[in-house]
Amino acid sequence: MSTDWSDLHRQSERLAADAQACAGKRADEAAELYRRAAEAEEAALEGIGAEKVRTRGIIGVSAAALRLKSGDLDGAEKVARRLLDESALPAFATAELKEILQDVQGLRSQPASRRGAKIFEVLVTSKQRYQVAAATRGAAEELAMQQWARGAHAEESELVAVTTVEAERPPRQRN
Amino acid sequence: MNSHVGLRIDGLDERHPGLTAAVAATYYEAACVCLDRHHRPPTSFRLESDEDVSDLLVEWAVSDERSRMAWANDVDRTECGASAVAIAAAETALGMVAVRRAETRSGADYYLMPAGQEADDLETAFRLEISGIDSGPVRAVYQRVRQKVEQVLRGTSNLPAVVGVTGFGCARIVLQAVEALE
Repeated sequence: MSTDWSDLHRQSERLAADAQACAGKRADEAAELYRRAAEAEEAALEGIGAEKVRTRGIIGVSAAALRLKSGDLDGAEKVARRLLDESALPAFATAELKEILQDVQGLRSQPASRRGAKIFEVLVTSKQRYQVAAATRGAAEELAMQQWARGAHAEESELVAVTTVEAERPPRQRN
Repeated sequence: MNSHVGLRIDGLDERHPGLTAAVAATYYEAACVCLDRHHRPPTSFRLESDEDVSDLLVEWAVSDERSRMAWANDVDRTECGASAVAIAAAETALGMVAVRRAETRSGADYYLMPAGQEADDLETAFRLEISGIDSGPVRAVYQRVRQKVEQVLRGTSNLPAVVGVTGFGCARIVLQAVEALE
C-alpha cells in the first residue's frame, strides 16, 4: 500500500498535537512525540513534488521546527540547511528556516539547564518596554502584549510597533 | 448587519479536518475559561470580516475550578482560546475550514480552504494568523490586527493569509484577508 505525503503529514499533525498536549507536564514524552512527528513530516516532504513550491516550504519549515521542538538541534540544522539549498524555496520559508538556524545556534550556546527560557525585552509602544522570560521570541511578544493590554495605559497609548531583543545574551560558544 | 447568528466554538474537529478531537477539545476548554473571565453564556460577540459586520451569539459551558487552574497561564490560555474562536469565525464568516496544521518555531499554523473543496497540496490554501487579547479595549484589537497584517506583508509569512484577532474582554472578533505578492 502506498502512503502519500498527505497521510504522512496527517500522522505528523496528530503526533505534534499529542506532543503539545503533554509538553507542560511530561517533557520527555513530548520530546519523543515531537521526534516521531518530525520523522513523519520529513517523509511527507520527500513525497511532495518540486513544482509544489509553497507546499514544500510549509512542510519543510514544519519538519525543521519539529526537530527543534524535540530538542534535536543537529536534526533541525540538517533539515533547514538542506532546504535552504533549494533554489525554489519561497521567501517566507527561507526567512523561517534562517530563524530556526539562529535558534539552534542560540540553544547550543546555552547550558542545558537554561534551554527553553530566555529573557526578552519587548518594546510595545514608543514608551513602554517589558522584560519577559519566554522560550521563544513569539511567546515573549504575546506575553508583553498581554501585559500591555491589561495595563492602565492601554487606552491612552498608541501601540506603534513591537521590537524584541534578547536581553540576556547567552555566553559565547567555545569551539 | 446580521444579528444573532450563532458562533459554534465546540466540536470543531467535526467540521475542520485539520483539527483532531483532542486539539479541538483543548481549544474549546481554553476558550471557555477565557470567556468566563469576562462574560456569562450566551454572550453576543461582534464579528467584523472586511466589510461585513455580524453580532454572533456565543454559547459555552461554564468552566469549573479545575479547568481554570489548568489554564492559569495567560499566554497559553489566550492563544488556545483565540484559536477556537478564530477557526469558528472563519467557518461562519468566510465559509472556510481548517484543513491542515503545520508547525512553526513558536507554535503551529492552520491552513484554510473553502468548505467542501478538495486539494492535494497547500498551494492555494490561506494561512490563518491567529491572535488573542484577554482584556483591553476594542482599539487594542484593531492595533493587533494592524500589527499582524504588517507582519504578513513584510514577506516573512505565508501568503495569502487571513488574520483573525479575538478580544475576549471587549467581545470583538476581527477577520482580515491579506493578499499580497511575495
